[in-house]
Amino acid sequence: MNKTFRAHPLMIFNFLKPFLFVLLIPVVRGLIQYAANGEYDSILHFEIMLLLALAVIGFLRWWCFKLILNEEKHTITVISGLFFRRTAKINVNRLSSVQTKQNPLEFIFRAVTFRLNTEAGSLDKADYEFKLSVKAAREVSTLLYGKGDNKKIRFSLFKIAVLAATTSSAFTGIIVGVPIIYRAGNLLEIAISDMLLNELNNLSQKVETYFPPVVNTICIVLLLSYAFSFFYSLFKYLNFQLRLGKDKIEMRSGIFVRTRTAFKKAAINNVRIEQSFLMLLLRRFAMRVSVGGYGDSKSKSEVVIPLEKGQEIRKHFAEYLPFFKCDTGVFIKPRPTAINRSRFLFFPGIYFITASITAIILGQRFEDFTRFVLFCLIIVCAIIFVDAWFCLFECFKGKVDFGENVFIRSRKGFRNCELYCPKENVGEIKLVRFPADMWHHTCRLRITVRSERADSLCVRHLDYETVKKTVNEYFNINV
Amino acid sequence: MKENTLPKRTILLWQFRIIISTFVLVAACLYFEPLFSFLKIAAIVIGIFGIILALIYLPFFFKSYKIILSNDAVIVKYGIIIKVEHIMPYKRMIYAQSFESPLARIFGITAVRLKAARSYLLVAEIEKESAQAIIDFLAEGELHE
Repeated sequence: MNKTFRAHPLMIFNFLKPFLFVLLIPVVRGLIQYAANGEYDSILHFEIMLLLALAVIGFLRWWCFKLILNEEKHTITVISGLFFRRTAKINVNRLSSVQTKQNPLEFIFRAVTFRLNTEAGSLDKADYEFKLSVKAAREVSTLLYGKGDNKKIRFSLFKIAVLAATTSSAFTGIIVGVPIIYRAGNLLEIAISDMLLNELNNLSQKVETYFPPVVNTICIVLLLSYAFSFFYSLFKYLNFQLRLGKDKIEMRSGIFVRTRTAFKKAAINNVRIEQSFLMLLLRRFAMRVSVGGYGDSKSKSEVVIPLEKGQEIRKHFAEYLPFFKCDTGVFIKPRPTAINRSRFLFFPGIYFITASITAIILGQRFEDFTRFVLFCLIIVCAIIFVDAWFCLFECFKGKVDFGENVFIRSRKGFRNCELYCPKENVGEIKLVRFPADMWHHTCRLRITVRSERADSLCVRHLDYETVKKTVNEYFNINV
Repeated sequence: MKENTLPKRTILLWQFRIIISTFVLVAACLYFEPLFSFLKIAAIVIGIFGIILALIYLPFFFKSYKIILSNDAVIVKYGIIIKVEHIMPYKRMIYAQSFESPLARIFGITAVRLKAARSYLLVAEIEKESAQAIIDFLAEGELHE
């Protein structure tokens, strides 16, 4: 039986969105000016005509949009386009995830942005994105994934805050914050950026430390950017809720912009249990899953458990995703010899020596900047120390397990990571040998998951012959 | 294994598109010719090139276009100077999408895009019924003759 859904009328506004600043706002401003003073620019006629034409096209595009759900054949048909008509028929089993998002405007009009994602979609956007009424969205979700009894799991504010803190960075803060400040300044016709820079300048001069004022300015900018990024993430994850069905997982989060993501457990490509430096200090872990084809966040993975103790998270993992567990295999660990262990600290050692020599040279060459050089050296040394810490983790805890599923534990950048993936999802196995590896008869093993996100993890200094033999037997291939 | 060729209407559509594009370009060149004298030569070259493309190249290209529906994959073969053979296994396909321009609608034909992860196979304009059969097959797993 076919069930047809029409898009929410708010979609017409969505079609006009690209013309918001160039057409919609000038027309509104012109009309207000006409109402207040009785005067208008000669171009206003043309602008109104153009806006009306675009609105009519938007209306017709909205009218042409149809979503047809066939319950018997488990298919979704999406018909869109006015002049260039597109018809797509997707089997429900081929959907990787369904996302709904609701911003405050949509909340007022009882609408949601509905996203259908498959692995065939392009990198930066969902396969299909449209507006549906809340009622229709609920109905579509129920038809797609069934009602079922969902187990609701909520997480405390502290856990959400730690998750936000670990997923935030000063760099993200700058990327998100600077355009907002710039646009707000342009819109309000106030030099907000100049005012902020002046305030920063004053503040950094007031704070007296051993280091020069420029260090204070850099620290304040980085701290502010990080704080901005943190609150941005916090509001994104606030109200985070996990709903577990028999075959599906659903995540809800957000207050101002509410996001709801649902996918079948079978659509999960791999699971990662991660521990960032902050989590390492708190002795906690987070669990993420990677699902193919994921709207405008295809490079992201979805957080399932934001923060939990090691034992707890493994218990949840075994409970929620038992088919990913890997405990009946052959372990391969880095060789436990003293020389091999010291090799893990080779690069941090090189970095430390290079940084120290560079700092000494710079300090002697630019005597007026000694304190600034010292500050930079402290920062670099702190980063090298953290890097060395993660290298030691890889040395003592790193391992690969070729069981029913593939399990690999190592470091990934500045975080410890465990990756679980089914054997059939392994995309690439890479054995890399540097001259030192050839000397010590070791190799690096990198496993890449065959998915859109292409998660990969590498363990260094494994015994080459053992890896070669195991990979050969396990994947039935010749290395 | 079933080998299919494109319907006659498809070549007419392609020729129509090329002729319209050539006409627009030639007209634009001639319009701006008083400003840049070299555009007169450009208009002649574009005109000749368009005619050769529409009347000589396209018929050969059309003849070379083959759609093969095997038991495991869709194979599309085409090309005169450079021969292309695009094979897409059914297992790798995620969904199919038909695409219809206003001109194609007049001719009663539609193009089909077979989507797989990170790639797609474009089947040139075929009859609407055939396109629908392919789309239904991929979504429901049944290919109607």
